[in-house]
Amino acid sequence: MNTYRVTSGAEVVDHKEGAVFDHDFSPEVEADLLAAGRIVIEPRRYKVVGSSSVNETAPGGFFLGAFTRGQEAALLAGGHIERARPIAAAGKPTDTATTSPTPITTTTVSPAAAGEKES
Amino acid sequence: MGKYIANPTITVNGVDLSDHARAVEINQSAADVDTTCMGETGVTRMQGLRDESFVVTWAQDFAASKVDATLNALYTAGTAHTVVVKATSAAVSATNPKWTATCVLLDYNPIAGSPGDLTEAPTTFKVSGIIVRAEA
Repeated sequence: MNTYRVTSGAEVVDHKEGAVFDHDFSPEVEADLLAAGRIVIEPRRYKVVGSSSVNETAPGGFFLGAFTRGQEAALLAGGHIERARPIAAAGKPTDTATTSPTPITTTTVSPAAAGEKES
Repeated sequence: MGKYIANPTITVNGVDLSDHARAVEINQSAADVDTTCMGETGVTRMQGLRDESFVVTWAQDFAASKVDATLNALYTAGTAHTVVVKATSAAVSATNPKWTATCVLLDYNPIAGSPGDLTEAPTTFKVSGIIVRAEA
């Protein structure tokens, strides 16, 4: 499951332009919709749980990333990241946020929460 | 004056694996399209489709979140992912460019070597599209 925003006039699974929705697209359908410019992936908060830096975020740090399902699956399977609760849901975060985003996907993302990185 | 390769950074699907890279190549190549017509005295040509790749030899590491954990998942699923190479770890600039591309992992050798050798993992990331060079 990923979170998307409709970016074109054409509806996507009954969602109009600007709507944000969760859906379980297959990687192929997701790629087609992204390539067609009909959706963008809404950034999600992740924690780096492995021992390698991810998205210029050191182990233990948090960042906002907009990964495709395949990219996220590879990072989860590799033990690099885990999904983290959004800051609003997590309450007052005790983690150290990182800065200086570097895009690693071709998707467009919405403005990041203050102090966290986007991909 | 030329410079030796000192400290390039190599990021695969967002994961910084620079400290496991033994060698890196950025291969930029384009098709040679023959445009010769009657009356020419020599072959004329134009640049055709580009076919580019990153070739990296890794010091293999099967520990969690290291080389194999990163590459095996990408190879197994055939996931398109980003590869980023910087000449050095310093900030991107005119003298420290960065090359970025969306790639698919077509050649991944988890083990290569002879007894006594360091276990290396030669890898070819074929570019889907073109490599983009940035200086800022």
